[in-house]
Amino acid sequence: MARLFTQILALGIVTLGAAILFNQTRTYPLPLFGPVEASNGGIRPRSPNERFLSGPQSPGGPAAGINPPGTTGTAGAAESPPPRAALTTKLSCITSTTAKAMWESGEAVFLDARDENEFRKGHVPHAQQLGPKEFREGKPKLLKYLPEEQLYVVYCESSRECAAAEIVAGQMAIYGYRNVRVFRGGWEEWKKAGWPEEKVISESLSPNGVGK
Amino acid sequence: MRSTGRPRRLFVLIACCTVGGLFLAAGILKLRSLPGFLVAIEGYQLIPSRMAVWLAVWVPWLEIFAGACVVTGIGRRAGGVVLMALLLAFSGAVLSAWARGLDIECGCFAAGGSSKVGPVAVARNLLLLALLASACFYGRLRNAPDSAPQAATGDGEGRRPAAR
Repeated sequence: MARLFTQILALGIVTLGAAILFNQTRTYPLPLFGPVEASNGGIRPRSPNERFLSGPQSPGGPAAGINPPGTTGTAGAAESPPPRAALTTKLSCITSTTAKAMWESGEAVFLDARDENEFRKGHVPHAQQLGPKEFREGKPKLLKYLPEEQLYVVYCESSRECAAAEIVAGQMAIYGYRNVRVFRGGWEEWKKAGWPEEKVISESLSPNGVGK
Repeated sequence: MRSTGRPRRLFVLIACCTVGGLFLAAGILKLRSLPGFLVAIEGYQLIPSRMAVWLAVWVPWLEIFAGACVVTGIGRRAGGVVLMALLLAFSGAVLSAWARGLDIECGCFAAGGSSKVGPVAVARNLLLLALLASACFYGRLRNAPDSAPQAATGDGEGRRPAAR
């Protein structure tokens, strides 16, 4: 029994050593020792727009102008699309640590849910601008170029100040995008951490243009 | 004794190669996408971010080493215990997520896989657990009537047939 215990302990120590060594030698290591923000501590707090996503739509609510797919104008807003009820459980949030790791690995496409002016002032490098406004007229053009299987990270200023990221994530889920994560800390945390940022300098550049 | 020893030896070999190989493959797939595995862990909303990062880094290596132990037979029981502990922990996490109505990826193999949390994932884990337990400990629980197959399958800690 003691021998078995020793072997298990040895296995644990060896694997831990290998894991740390492997991680630290990666091009973009996961932050084992650095500061980790406590944006949600693994527990997702209730967001302001969950009421919109899960319950009846309140007039003048945060997403009153958003229409379900296939509908336009205010008449369509009264119909509630079938997937809406399930959206609260499908929204998955990530911390800034994870967001950074996903950005570095290039696994995820970042979507900036803030308005165009804020996007121009600064955003996560290679992010595309896609705000709630783009969903008013149905499926945004940008989504035609974004594969549904791809992993997406949506953010706005921060979830304390805006619910745009969660609205966009919810709308994307309606259009069949299942791998969408909400970066709750948003641009505020990204900038605060001093991570790379990108600005739109030329006025002629359209933030919605794919490949620009 | 020999007539029962051979089928049992075969069973142990197949069970260990299946379960150990599965964990080896799962660990390698996770290593290829550590951020994806981290996302899967965070999706369960069970542990703080700091712990999730450590688990994302450590668990794939634990799976690889323990899986290799079970397949090769070097420290098979230690590897088996580790894998069983992992399977129990995974089952608990999946059950918890399922009970809370979370519709998230299981994260059992590669990140971005189609496997979701639910009864299928729990049943698969329990099946693997039973297979592993029977392969690694069956002989011991039966007071090792067939210790020879254990030694023959490469487990260096097989009981010696001292009573004979």
